[in-house]
Amino acid sequence: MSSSSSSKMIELRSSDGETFHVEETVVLQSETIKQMIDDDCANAAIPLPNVTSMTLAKVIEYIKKHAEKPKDDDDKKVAEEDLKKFDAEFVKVDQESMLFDLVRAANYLNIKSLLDLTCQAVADSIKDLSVEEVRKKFNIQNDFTPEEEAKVRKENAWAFD
Amino acid sequence: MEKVVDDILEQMILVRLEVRDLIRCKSVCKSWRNFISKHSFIKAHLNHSYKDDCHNNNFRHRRIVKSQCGCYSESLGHMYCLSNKCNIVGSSNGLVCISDFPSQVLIANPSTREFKILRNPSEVCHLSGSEMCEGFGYDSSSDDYKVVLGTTFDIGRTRFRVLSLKTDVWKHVGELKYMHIRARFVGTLCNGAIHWLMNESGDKTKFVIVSFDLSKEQFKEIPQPDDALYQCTPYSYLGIIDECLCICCPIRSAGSLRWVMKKYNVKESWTLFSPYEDAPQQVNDAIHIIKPLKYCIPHTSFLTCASITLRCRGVDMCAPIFVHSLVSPNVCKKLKGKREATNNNNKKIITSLALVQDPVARNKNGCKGLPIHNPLQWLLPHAISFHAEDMCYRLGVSTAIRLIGHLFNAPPGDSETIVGVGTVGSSEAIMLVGLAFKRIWHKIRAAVKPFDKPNIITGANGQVCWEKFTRYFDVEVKEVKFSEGHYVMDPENAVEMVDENTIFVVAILGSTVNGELEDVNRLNDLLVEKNTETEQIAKRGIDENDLAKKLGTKNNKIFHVLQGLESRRPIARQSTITRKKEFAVKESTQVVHS
Repeated sequence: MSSSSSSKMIELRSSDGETFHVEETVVLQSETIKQMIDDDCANAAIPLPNVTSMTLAKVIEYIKKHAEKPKDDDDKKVAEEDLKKFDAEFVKVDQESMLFDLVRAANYLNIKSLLDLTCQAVADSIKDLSVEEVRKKFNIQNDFTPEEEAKVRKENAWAFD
Repeated sequence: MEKVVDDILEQMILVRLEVRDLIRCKSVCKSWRNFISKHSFIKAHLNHSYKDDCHNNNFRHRRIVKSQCGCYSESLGHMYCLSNKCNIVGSSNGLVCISDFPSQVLIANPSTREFKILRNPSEVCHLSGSEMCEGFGYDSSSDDYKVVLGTTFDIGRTRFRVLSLKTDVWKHVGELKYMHIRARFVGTLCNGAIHWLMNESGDKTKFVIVSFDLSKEQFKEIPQPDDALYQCTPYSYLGIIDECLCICCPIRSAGSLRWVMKKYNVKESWTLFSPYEDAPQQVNDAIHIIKPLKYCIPHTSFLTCASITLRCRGVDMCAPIFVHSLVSPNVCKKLKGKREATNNNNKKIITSLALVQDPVARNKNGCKGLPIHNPLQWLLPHAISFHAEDMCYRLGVSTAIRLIGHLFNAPPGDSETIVGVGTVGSSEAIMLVGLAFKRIWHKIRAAVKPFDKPNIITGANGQVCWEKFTRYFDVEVKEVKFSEGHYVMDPENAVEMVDENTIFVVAILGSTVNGELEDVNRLNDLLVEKNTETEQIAKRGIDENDLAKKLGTKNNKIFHVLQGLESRRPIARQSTITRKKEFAVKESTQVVHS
């Protein structure tokens, strides 16, 4: 899709100082930024201290794709399929930490569809993992005593088969 | 080390997990365990699970059916298997109700493998040989699950009973002049109500769709399609498609016709389901099959649920909708445990809290199919007469007694339990309370002096009922007279009138005359003072040659009774009264046991 020249460009600055220029219509998908624009705080570059440039690039890729509008009904179906494929590919990230970075960024920028997508991706990745693996993934300290843990496990032993 | 994502995000992720994964995740850490067990999370998870693919309106999507393969009765005992007699009565929020009425009803969550065996309906129903219709669903108004059972008890009449999971008590809800068209007829859950296709009694060609609203506990008739093609037969049945009630009428020549009621309870919204929409699209079907596990131990795992995707015959729109959830069938587990514990300590009668329900009134209401709110009233000797109908209705009498008792600090020690009973009205409660006091007084006095002339003290504004009590049970009533500008009982005057034969003093919160509150705190203080005083005299008396016995003051305990306001009075006032009552009762309990 070609960007119309009349659209206003918004400048975003990541935590590591890199700046990104995005069309206003695209960036409005983020409720957080929309609020800032509404409040007239978006004249200078918007600092996003919680988002790294790598994550922000990914997020912008996502919202750009989702801002595309199909021209007619035939196109719509194709576009929907296309978007589904894009989403599926989008969450296939090389590093696991990237997925969590995206979850946090989506939450911070308040982009609901991206948050849903990434949360679901994390949930899918937990599926069938062992308890130890889940702890490692989420960086959670086991605060059960061995007895307590044995008890919790025993209550639902079948789920561990 | 810092966590990867904060709590809120963790929860957003967890809500998307499947039940089995969640159960495993309970052992990740304490905060996860607590969070996953929370009621709010269970609800959120259910919501998510429900929304997940609810737009798939395929007939066979999310249906739950019974496994056709054999049941393993040897390892389970006959009670726990799904015999051919067993029916799936219904499914709601991940819970499945299974019955082989009249002997057994149970509610299971096949995803978590929890289950609960319900109170046997045959205890109350005398069901032998009668035909039944059944139903199960969720009542959002009370956040409870209900099992409905209709039995034909007379030619052409069906009597309905309901059991709610929280109370685990079967109660009568009404009677209809209709008959179900087939035995073991399972109702269809739609829009918070259970629906049955029934026959009008006396005319087997007339059919009605009866609905039973689970919240209001009311019956209603649902209009049928107004269509020349529509012809209801004994082989017709109800079902659910895309959350809409539908009716299927088999036709001898052409398979069957289905109508869907697009808008609930709107006659005009019935639309014929076009035949080609009926074409099977099983690709995305999720049919759940409930079956007993092979080597399971009762109480740990008993039913499981397999989701299959296949071309499945015999699963139709009448099968209940099922979603995986964490909802536990043991909703009142904790409450019950506590109740049992209290019952074990029940040895000493310290207060008789009067409270009983009237089965006759209940049945009368039930016949009309109206919600039952019995006029139950409370009474606690040296405490209160209290309208608590709604409370008793929701919690059951024993829980209500316990609750009220604790609220008013009735049991003085941990080992003692509140004893209570329900009454039809406040008069009966007052009689019982008065009598209880008289008996206690007898016990105390018997050793010391003759006890032929007990008296009570009340203000001149006293409820006429207390006068009745004194007449029926041979007690003298001493009235505290009013003075100019003072129209409630004066505590000083009242306590002055107390003598060795006084069994209790009645204080009224909300005088019949002007609604004024009597000064219960002051009354209580004065009575406590007087009791201590007489006790001291009594003690000295024993030391000095039995003077006390002559005076007859030994163990002269004085109780007082509060008569509370009826709950119809404004709430704001009620709360101050309650606080006062609470205090007064606490103190007066000390009076009794000092």
